[in-house]
Amino acid sequence: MTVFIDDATLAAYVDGELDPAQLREIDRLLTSDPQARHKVRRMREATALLRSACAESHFQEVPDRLMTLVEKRSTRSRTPWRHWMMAASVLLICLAGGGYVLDHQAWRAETVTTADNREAMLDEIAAYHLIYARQTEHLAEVSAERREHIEAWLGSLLNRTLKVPDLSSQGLKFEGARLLAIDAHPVAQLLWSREYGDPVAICVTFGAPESKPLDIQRHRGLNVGAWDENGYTYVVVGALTEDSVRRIAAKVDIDIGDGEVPQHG
Amino acid sequence: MENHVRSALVPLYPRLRRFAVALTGSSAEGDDLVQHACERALARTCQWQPGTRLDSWLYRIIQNTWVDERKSVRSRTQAPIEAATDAIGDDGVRRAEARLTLDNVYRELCNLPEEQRAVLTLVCVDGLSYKEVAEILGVPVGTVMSRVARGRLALAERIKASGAHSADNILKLR
Repeated sequence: MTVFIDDATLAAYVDGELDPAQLREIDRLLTSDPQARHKVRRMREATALLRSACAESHFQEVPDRLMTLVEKRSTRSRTPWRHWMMAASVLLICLAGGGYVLDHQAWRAETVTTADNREAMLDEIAAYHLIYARQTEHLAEVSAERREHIEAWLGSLLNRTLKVPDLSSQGLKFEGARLLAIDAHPVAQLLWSREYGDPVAICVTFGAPESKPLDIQRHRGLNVGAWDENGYTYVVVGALTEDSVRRIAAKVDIDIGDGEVPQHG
Repeated sequence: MENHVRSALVPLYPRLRRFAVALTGSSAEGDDLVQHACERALARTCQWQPGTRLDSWLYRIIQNTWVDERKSVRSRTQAPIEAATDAIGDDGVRRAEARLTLDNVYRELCNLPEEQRAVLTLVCVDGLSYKEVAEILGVPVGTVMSRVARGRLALAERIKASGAHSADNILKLR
């Protein structure tokens, strides 16, 4: 005699909601019930299609109004970015000649500067950020306590002196750094946490020799600000409003200065 | 605690939005719903219990916000279900058969009754347990179970009827 298996039980079977004994029982009953097997197959196919059709990537565009909401508390005490530009007493990232010069020119020589590759790099930085930003306990590869090591390590990889900025005035706390490898190029990623909101990162890597002004684009639902200066590409990434990206970028830009060409080798 | 919730909103946003769009059946209404729910969540972060799932708590707020909004706008007509391409960010150029099929699947999901859309999204896409979904939606586990079964079979029927291709083809293309 064939035992009827109701649809709800079949759905629970597909969704792994049955206990081991029930599971074994349904497995046994399915062997003699082709109609139920067909239903299970249709349910699984529908599930697979649904997962593909509703992938997170289709819904990731975070609107500015939500960004603003997320940042609301932290922006209350913020000063307009032009004020910060004038108060350039704290360096974010300082470029200077000499120091930590190693033979990493090969990376620079191979640095790709096409628009497509730049877009791909920014997209990948945003993708990395979405992953790292969730690792609250392991945000950075090298913790902030080893600031001097971070500066020496990442500076040497980029043929420059790299100073970790103090962004406490922006409500940011330095958490450390990590090295990313994007398209076989080293990307120094410095990470800050915020009292309110997701972590923020500044990435520095070899870039185009010509300067490019700040351009803010949306990648993976995040605002990503990037500009080129003196052969390096700088990227600000985080769950930030465009204004916040501009504030940080403006400060970096001021600190770097005009025509300050880093010495290589 | 507020910091934790605030920090989690952006990473969780795609999933929150997906659920909200499934509830409302409309991308624009879903966006509004997420926004209102996030505002509500931030106003009552003390109600979230550390150690429990934050995403489930936010889903529950979205569900409750949606119920409240419907109560307050009794005369609201059913929002038109936009083309799936609008809802899932397609650039308007249907480049591949796979994309067509997935658009179709999404459209058929939107055409299901609201209660089925909600459970299918939470169970089949988010992978939440029936118990978790029951708590989010405020219904018995048995109700979730029957809605998942009915919804999934109805979706399978609709996909078949609308000429969608098999899951095998899609998975190969993706």
